[in-house]
Amino acid sequence: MTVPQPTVFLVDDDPAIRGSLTLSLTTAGLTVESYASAPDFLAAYTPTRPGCLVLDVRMPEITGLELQELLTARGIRIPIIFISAHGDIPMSVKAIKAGALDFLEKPFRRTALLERIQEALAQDAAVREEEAKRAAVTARAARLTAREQEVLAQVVAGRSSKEIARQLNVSHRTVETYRVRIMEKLDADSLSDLVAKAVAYGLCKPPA
Amino acid sequence: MLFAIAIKVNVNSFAWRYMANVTGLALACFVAGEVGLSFPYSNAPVSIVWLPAGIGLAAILLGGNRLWPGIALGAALTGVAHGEPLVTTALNALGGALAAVVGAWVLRAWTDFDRQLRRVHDVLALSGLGAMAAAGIGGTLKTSALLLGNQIELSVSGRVWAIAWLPDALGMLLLTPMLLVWAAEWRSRSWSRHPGETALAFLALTFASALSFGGWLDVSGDEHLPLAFLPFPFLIWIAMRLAMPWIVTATVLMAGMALVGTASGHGPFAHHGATAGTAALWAFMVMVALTMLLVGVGMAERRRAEKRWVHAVESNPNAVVLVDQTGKIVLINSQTMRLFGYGRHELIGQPIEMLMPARFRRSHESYRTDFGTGQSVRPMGMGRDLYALRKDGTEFPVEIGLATIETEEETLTISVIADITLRKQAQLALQEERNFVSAVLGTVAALVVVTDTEGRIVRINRACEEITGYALEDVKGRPLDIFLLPEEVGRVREAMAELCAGRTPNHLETHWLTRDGTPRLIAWSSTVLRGPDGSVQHLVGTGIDITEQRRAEVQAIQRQAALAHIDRLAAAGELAASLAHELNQPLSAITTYCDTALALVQSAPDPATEVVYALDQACEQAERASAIIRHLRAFVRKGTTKRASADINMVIKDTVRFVETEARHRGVRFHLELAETLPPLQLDTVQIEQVLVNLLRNSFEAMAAASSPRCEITIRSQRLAEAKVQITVCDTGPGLKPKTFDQLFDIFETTKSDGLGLGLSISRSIIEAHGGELWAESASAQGATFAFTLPVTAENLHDSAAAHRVSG
Repeated sequence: MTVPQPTVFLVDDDPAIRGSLTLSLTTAGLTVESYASAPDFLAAYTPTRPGCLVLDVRMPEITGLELQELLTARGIRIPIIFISAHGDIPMSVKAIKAGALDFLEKPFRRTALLERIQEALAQDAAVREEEAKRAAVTARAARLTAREQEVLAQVVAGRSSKEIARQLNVSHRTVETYRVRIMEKLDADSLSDLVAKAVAYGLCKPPA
Repeated sequence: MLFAIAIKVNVNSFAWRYMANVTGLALACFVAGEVGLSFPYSNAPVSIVWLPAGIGLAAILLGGNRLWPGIALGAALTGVAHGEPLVTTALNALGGALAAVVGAWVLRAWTDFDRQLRRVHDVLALSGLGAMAAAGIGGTLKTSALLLGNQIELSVSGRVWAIAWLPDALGMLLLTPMLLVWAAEWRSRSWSRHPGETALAFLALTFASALSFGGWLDVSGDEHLPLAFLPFPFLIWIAMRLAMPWIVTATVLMAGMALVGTASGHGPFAHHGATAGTAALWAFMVMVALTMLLVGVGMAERRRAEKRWVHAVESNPNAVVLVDQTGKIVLINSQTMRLFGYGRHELIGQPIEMLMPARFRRSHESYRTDFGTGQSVRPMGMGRDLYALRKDGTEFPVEIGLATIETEEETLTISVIADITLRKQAQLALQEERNFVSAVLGTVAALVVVTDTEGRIVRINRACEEITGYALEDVKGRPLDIFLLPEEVGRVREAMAELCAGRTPNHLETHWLTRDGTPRLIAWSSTVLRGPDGSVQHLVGTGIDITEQRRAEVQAIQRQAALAHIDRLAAAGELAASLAHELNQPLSAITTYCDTALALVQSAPDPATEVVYALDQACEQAERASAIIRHLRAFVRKGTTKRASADINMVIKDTVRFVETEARHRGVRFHLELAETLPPLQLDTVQIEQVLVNLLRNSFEAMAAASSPRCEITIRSQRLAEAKVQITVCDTGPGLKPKTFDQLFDIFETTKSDGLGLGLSISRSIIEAHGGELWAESASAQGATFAFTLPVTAENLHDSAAAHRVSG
């Protein structure tokens, strides 16, 4: 499965801005999709697509800041770079607090924007990779039996095989067998790797 | 019919009364004639006294000529009774009547004879003219009658004539005055006063007369003649003391007793050689009658004069005091007693000084001696307040008129002393009223000017003096025009004419020139003062100096206009804000396109460096344009910014950056002399920038207009000793002219052809709103200097102290 090419989504009501930026970013080898308004963007965008959002602040209907709120509310965590011809300090502070990557005042130099976009795309890629990992581990963990789950919880709690055997009223050997299976199922290299994965992804409930 | 009867009755009653008068007169004359004839003149066919002559003259004088028939009838009766020949009787009758009528006529025609015998010359006229004329006629006709009756020889008629008028004259001297006086004074009853003294005097006179002529003493004969004067003291007593009727009565009484006594052979005039004795008696009686009449009338005249004098003195409403040369009081009137509270006898003979307060007495004595040499009448104590002293010790203000009365033996001073307490009180009240008015005029803030109807200044009050710089003495009597602008004189004259014509009140706004020529705008409200006759005498103007008020009004109007302008500027600011957004979009696109082109060019194997440069510059300029717009937007959007703590040096630097392009274009160089460690100030940064921009622009334009060879602007910031920071902007332009200097900050004042005149006035209000001051510091040829201060607030003082600690 190949990772799809990231896209720079551009939302600005001014066609000159859309045109110049599209040309500028395409020239830099980026894939650009531009929209004249927030609703247009929302209609076309699917969260699975990697990339970043270059967003104008002042627009008719839905402003850039409103779109930011809307995306946050939907759990869409695409990195946002605000651009504004009309910025002021309170506005930019608000945007940054709400998670925006940066706030560029028009006009800005090409290099400044490209740097920001690179950062944004890297951030987006990192987030997406992390999420993929989590999905994989979660899928493996789903294959553990109930007994294996119990043993995993005891392991994560730091108990030895003997203690676990006594706790579960099984033999020491049986516990060792469970542990091997759990390691196999969760693709863990070592005990510490197993514990780290289990804690990071919340694979087991804390022992009773 | 009735009327006719009434007239008839009247006529009848008049006629009857006349008939009664004539009959009464005739009878009186007859009886008197009989009495007279009982005293015959010795050796002559006439009596010693012819009483009907006296009655006749009195009757004619009292009742008029028409009574003559009574006289004639009386004489006729006498003649008939004595069996006189008819012609004698007729002539006597005619003579008696004619004598009386002519005597009366002479008195009336030739003298201003008063039949009441009030004056000495009435007595002289009666005895000298009337009696002589009447007696002359009577005597002549009597002599003629005797001659014609053959009773005397013609040879003796001359001698007879010489004595024939004597009885008539004596009769007239004795009886006429008595009848006239009694007729005049009967009704007045003045003779009934002093009845005791009258009775006593008459008793004494009768006794003395009886002693002289009664024959009780054997005194007949020449050697006893002085005895005839025995009654004289009593006659004189009566003449001096009693009323006229009694005097004449006493004369007649004594004359009668002398006649009777002598006729009976008693007294000094009896047993003489007949003619001589009779002549002596006649002369004696004439003398007594004349003397008594003259003394009596003289005394009466004097009494009247005295009475007038006393009346004059007494009727004077003021105290009248007569003082002799030694200062002793000789006479006072009763008003004096009332006024001073003394009795008459307490004052007469006392020094006049007892009527004055002790403090005046000594000096008065010298005044008094000086006055003796002075003229007739003059007020005393000119220019001094005089006071008099009552018996009870109280003082009162007086006014004294003095006059001297010079008689042969002494000089008297008459003082008329008027009590002026009431007048003084009135004067005091008037003075108080005047003082009150003066005080009001002096303290009132309004200007008050009083002129006469010719426009000459009569009075100005203190407020007027203060505003104009003139004192009342400087302008009194001068025309009002000295205060007026030449172009307003006409208007003021018109207003004054209106006032004089009675159209009041009058309201007028005029300028008044102060002493140094500054015009002040005064709002006048004027009216007139009228005299007692209702005519306009003075014009009174009350004015309020409205110079400042009017200036403030004008400024308020200008300020309103400025505010309107600022409003428009603010609207333009809003526009600029949206313009900034709109412009930034294309600028942004331009930047991006250029940048892209730049990237494309640079990525080529052999990039054209000129294109790279050009594109790079294009990007930079687009960015600068955008920065300017942003700045402009912030600049015009006043009110959206708030005061915040700011570094004034940063503000200065930002402003300089903002105007740098223009400065470069105009060839102006900036020198910044900024103090370090200035405390932060509470500022509306945009507004302070606006002030700085205004000052810098002014300098730009001033230097450009003057084509200054060296165009430099120095901006200095410094901490003043107080909690103040001062910013100074100096240029190398032509400086400020003194005239424009004063008006610099007035709104709409501009020296620039295209200026609005708003800049400095707005700047000043901005600085003042910050609690600072803005001023032009000098007007030297070195250029203009503007400076403003900004306060360091308490919290910033604290901040700055903290900053100092940290930096230290």
